[in-house]
Amino acid sequence: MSGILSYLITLGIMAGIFAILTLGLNLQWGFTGLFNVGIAGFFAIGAYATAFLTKGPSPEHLGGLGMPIFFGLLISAVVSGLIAFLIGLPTLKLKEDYLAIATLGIAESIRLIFTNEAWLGNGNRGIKDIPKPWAELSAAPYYNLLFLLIIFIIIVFIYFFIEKSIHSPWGRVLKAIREDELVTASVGKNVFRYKLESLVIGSMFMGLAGGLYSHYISFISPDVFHPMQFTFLVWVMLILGGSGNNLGAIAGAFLVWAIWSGSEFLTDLLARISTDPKVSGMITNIQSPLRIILISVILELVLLYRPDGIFGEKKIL
Amino acid sequence: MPQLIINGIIMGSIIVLGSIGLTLTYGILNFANFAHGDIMAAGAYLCLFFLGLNVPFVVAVILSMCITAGLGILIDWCIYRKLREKTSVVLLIASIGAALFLRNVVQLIFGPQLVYYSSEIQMAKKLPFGIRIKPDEIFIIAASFLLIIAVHLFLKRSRIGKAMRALSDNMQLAGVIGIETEKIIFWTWGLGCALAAAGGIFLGLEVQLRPMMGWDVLLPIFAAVILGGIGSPYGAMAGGMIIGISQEVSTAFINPAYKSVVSFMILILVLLIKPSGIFGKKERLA
Amino acid sequence: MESILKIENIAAGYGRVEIVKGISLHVSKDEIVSIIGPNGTGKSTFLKAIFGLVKVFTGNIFFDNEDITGLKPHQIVKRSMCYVPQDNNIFPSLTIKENLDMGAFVRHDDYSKNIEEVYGIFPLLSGFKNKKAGELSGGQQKMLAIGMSLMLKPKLLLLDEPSAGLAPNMVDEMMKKIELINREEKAAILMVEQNAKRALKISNRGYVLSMGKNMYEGTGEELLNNKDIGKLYLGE
Repeated sequence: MSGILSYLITLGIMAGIFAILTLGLNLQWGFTGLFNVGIAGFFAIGAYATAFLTKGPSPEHLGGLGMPIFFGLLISAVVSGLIAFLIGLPTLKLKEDYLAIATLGIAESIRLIFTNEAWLGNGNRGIKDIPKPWAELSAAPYYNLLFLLIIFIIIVFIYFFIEKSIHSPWGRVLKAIREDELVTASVGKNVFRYKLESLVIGSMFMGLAGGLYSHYISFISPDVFHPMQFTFLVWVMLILGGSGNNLGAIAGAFLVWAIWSGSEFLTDLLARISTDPKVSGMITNIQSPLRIILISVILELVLLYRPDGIFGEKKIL
Repeated sequence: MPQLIINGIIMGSIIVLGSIGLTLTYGILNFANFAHGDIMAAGAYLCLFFLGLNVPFVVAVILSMCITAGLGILIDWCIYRKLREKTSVVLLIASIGAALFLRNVVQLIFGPQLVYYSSEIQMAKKLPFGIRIKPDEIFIIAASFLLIIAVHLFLKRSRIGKAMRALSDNMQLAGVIGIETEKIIFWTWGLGCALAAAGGIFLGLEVQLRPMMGWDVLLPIFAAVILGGIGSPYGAMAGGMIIGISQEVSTAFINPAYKSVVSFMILILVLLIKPSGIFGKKERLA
Repeated sequence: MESILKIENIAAGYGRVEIVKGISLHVSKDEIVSIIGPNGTGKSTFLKAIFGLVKVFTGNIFFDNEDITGLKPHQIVKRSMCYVPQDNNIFPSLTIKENLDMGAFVRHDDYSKNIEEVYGIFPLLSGFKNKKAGELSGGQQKMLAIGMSLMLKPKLLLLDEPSAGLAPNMVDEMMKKIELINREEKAAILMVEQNAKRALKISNRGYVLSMGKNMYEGTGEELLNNKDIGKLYLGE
């Protein structure tokens, strides 16, 4: 398989995993107005949960039950949803920014726990050799294409699930909450329950995305889940794509991931071309901050000048 | 234990300096500024820059505070001001962008490694009850104390300071009685970010400097603000001390790595028991 | 008597929604004028439009012979017109004295005499100058709100429902204070009142609004004795 094609496939897989996250966030924010800044935490929970369940026994971490991957992914979603439920209880009756602070706090707590409790997930060294689905095929040249297909099917499924739900009576209540919570409450809807359901379901998708990531990369460590950076990327995807628009959310994920990994690709290339080791070292050093600066500037510009996103059609911001 | 309490007071002073600005802008502009921790870091690194030019430490602190104040005003002017008509959540997202921008500019200029203001090792002074305290730490407590007194006098006595509290209470009414709210907001950013810079510098002095330092204090300062009641500078002072001391005392029982989890737990407890905080006046229901 | 406020056929509202649909009115320099009418008829929006808090679409507002249409509240305040909102009209975490200081924010001269005057009108307030305003009773808070506006020696005071939420005996007290302010402080008063009878009793003139437009106009007594109005708006 040619290099470019295989690069595009890996790009597609990661963008697809982010698209699942963005769809989950879109349900929470785009359709209900819930401000979740703990995406990294829900993602991490999902990633670790399936690793514990599906890997074979190992002294390095908890679990090792060797269960089927399908089951592991299911539990990834369930555990993430459970954490969302617990965090939603004290915060969803309050103003939206409390949820923001609380989710940020839970994401950081989760990261700290996995960093410091080595018995749990091998601490900073992380968990390796997480099984891949149909592992016997993993050496085949088109294995990644198969993985991409799985991700694609899951995205299509989630897309239709969310589309169908938001056009149901349940979804109309969510949108009513987003537009005006007080009015919705005054016509007798249990606003708190609807918000909690939206938060839990959205977070389940995030947990699922974490599980998929786990099985795709085969390795996870707490560093991957740095709350602000990671979460921020998903937010930029949704805002760029246009919140309240599922196709926009998916497109935003692919676009931002392309910019994100494309800029890495470019700087890598520059660093390799340069013959002076000092220059290439410098490029590698500034690469990561430069990318984040680029993305944050894009975000501010979108917020200021295209508040509905590039593909956005629904007014929400 | 007395030692941990002293350490707590030192951390508490730093958190208080960070949280006063956060609570004021939170109360007045009604949005949670996630960039406040990174403003603290920016102040800390500015000070490092001035020390590199052989400027005396106290002068470097003052210069950094002034420039950081300008930086806060600039960010408000370029981004937040234009988004004030929108919902508070849009501002919140914008502030996350600003936070990552600042943090990575710092990393770009100063590199990702840990840095200290001074390489010399200070001898701790021995006090009764087995307390050991370094001269730097005495400086942190004394300087924070002076700054807090100055803020108190400013908020209680000066026309602008009273207007800040008024805006934090009721922005609309302030406009109705003729206060030029934009002018007061300008001063609020200046004051809040200058104090944040001092807090950041003291944090650098007590621990060390690293681009992520703003992130490390973000949860504690938010916990302090919510514990004290959003918009209440006096609440932030009390809240900051409580959080600082709880974090340090907790290390006697649990892994010190979980300090920010401790402040997060306190935050969740406050949300469960009294979401408006100790000195809170507004019920911030959804 | 020369008029201090003259409004010519204004339309105003939020966004594109027109709530005030053509109201004209005038207030003379020594008058108390009441605006009454059923709920949702745009009385409060009208008051806010005069003060620049709501967008005026068409029509003109003249204050003290100057066209102030479209000015911002802080510009209008400097011209000595004050507005007291119906609620949220004090700073709860500030003391009484500090609230009065804020009332005088735009003044740069010594206003200590003025503060004493306000305490003279509302002796209750002088009893706890250093108490937080949020700890006052509802009625006391309303008094403080009016006191704040008096710090600027207004030529015209706009009051939005000054008696709303007050106990019956406090309503009388409030009306007496309004008369006192009109007489002693030489401030013309334009108020919107739900409590139409009480308001008309102390008013020189009144306007009855309906659906965002003028319906009737007359002296307080005329309106009180008008049978139609009595039936429709005074609950008789």
